[in-house]
Amino acid sequence: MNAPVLEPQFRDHAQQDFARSFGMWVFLSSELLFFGPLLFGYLYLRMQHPEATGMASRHTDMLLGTVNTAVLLTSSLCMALAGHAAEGQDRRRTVRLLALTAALGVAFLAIKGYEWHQEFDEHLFPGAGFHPSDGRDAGTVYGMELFFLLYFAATGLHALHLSIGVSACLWLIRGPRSEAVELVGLYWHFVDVVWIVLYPLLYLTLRSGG
Amino acid sequence: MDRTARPLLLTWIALMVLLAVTAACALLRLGWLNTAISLAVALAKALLVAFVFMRLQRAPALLRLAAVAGTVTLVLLFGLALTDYTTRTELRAPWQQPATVAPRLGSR
Amino acid sequence: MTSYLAGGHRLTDWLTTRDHKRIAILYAISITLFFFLGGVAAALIRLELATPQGDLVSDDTYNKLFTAHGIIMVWLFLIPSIPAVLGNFLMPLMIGARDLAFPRLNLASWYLYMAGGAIVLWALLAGGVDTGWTFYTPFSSMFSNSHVVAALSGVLVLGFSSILTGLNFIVSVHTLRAPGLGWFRLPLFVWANYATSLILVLATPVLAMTLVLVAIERLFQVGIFDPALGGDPLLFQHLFWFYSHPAVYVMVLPAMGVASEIIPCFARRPVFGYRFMAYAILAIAVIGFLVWGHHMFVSGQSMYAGMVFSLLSFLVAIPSAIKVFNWTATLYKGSIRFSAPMLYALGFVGLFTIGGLTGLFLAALALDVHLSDTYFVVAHFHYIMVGGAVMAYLGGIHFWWPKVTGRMYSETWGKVAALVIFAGFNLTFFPQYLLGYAGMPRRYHSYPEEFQLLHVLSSAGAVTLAIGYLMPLGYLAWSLRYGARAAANPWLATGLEWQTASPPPEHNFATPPVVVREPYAYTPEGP
Repeated sequence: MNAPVLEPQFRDHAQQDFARSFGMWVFLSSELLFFGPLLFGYLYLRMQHPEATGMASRHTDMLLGTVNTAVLLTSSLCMALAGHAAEGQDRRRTVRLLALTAALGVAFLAIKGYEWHQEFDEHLFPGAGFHPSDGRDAGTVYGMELFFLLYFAATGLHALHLSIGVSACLWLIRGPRSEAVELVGLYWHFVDVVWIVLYPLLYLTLRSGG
Repeated sequence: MDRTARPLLLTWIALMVLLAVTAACALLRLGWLNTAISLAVALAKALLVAFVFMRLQRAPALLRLAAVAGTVTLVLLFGLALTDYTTRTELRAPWQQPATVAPRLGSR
Repeated sequence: MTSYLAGGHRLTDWLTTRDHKRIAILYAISITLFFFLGGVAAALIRLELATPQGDLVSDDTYNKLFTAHGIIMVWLFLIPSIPAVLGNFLMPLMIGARDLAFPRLNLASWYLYMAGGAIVLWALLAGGVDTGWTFYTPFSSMFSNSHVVAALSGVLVLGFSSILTGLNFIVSVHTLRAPGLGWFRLPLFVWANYATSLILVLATPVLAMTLVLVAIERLFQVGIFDPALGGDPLLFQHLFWFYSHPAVYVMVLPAMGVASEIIPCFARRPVFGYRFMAYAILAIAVIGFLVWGHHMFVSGQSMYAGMVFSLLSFLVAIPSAIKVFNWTATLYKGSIRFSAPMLYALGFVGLFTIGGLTGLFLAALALDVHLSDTYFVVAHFHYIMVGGAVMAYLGGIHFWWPKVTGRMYSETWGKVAALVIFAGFNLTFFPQYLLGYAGMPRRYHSYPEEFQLLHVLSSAGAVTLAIGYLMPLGYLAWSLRYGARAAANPWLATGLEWQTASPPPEHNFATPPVVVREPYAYTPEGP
């Protein structure tokens, strides 16, 4: 596999690789804070509008959401295996696993897109035209609309990050250096962790009514 | 797949099992336990991904510090903001004049 | 070796550079332009306030003026100023590195800055924004008929620019330090920018998402921040100030770093209590994350939360006070030279102290009820931002001018400008403490007759201040052509940046430096 270029500010490859890994972790830390207000908004919603949150959450498609979680977790496995193969200098294996990771990412996006389409059809997209089938009084409808605002914002932001990850995987396939695969891997797993947190908050909240 | 990749596969199996557990529990009426279980499972899954897939287990202390820093800051945001939300009762505004901002986007 | 200025001459060489020193120059030019634009807004504000009636501009226009002034000065000037100009130039030099860890990311930061600036400029030219730089909801989301979304977008882009700068600094300081340069041999300027970078990376993303939510609320009219629609305006304020309070430490910590470089040099003494200074910097950054609720004492926040935030706000003053004591102690028995940078640095210490003490007034809950939303607050933060941060920035520009440009500026003009700025600043802003205490509200374009005298004094001060700010433009530009050539170390200062030529060669050092001495090893005769 092609050798990476040593930039002039670094004295050796070990320093360059460590600096880039560290840089990626610092970036991921900031990304966590980027999702922070959405998570706090969710907490606010749970505290102030518990019933509306539950009602709205039951409108999400738990089956598709659970399937999607499995898809994303599997993609993380493929990504981790790709990193493992890249470390072992096995280029063909790395490329195959990266392609599989990207394919699973695309599958996730497709399922998500279908869910959004469903929710759009059920008039659950916030704004003009928001009309849940079980909305009773104005207060509950407002609460449900806020839930869906957070739902679309969080899943939308997540999907944006995932798309960037898929593009990075495809770009890596051209020249999968071990260090670059590691960096993209960190990003990919972070996007997975975000979903791991979002899944229970958006799909499982008060699902059983309890 | 060689032996050194086995921890990755085992982690994936654990993640799938946890997913099944959390989904199943969500369908049962367990009161406050529902939330507790789903958050605990989410934490477990996140830690598995972070420590195994993202290799935090073997990473130098500095990388672990970077991982923790974001979480700690988030905890500070939540914690101190909650000092307000847990001690304040909301009085709903009885009336407010309608918004004067131009057309509203949406699904219509 | 050729200087970094002598390399590629074409515009494209500058616009595609990876050299941190050239990127610093790009930032210097752009933030200077924005500083004067924000200054024009300030001039119009002070002109309007010279008379009690709202006669120069309409109330709507006045709202747009102070909003423009705030947005430009906070995000387009103060936040990038010291880190992106002085920090970019000096950080690699001070740690003995050949560049920052991610040079292309550094250039990307500048392009994001320019893009954000262009968007904000568009919002202003298209008709302006009238919400105040704080964008409080539900006015900004549900009622304002100005270009809010455009302004929010511009600030969002600017936020990403600063996050990338912070990331670059953090990684560079951890990984690129020269051999022998342990943490406790680093100049305090490096410590300060490092702590600033931690804040930039952790706090700015919260602002970014919050502004996105305001834009969504405005476009879709969903009420996450609107009480009539199930939301909470205080939710916005919590999220906004969670960033914006640490942001003020982003503005002041680098200024403290500059002061810690200038004062030991022109007192010919090592900085007093180096370790405490470093720990204080970190303490300010950390505790600074815990005090944001003091902006919300009278907004409806719970009284108990108010007490918590008030206590924490008192605590954050402690490390700042330690720094002021240590700067003062550094001067004791020193061989003090009142050069232009020293005048700025000493001005910084004094004015920051006044600004900081008045912050304590505001941190006291009962006093804040009286002082909140009055000119007292305006005076407080201008003492820190202008009397503190801007003066330190100018001090740093003068101190490192020989290093950056290879020329000496006129010391006489430098001193005169510093004194004019000091006088003008105090004349502008001290009366505002009195105005605020007497009840003059902020963001009002007309006021009762009895406040006019103080307003006229303040406006006269603003004229003086403006003259003072224009002067360096003149003599510094003149020095580029006609100034004496600078030696490598004209001030006989310690620090690795002074061990290389003025201006430095492209990769900073002919041979990589090795550090064996403690920092600030000053004696009356030389380093």
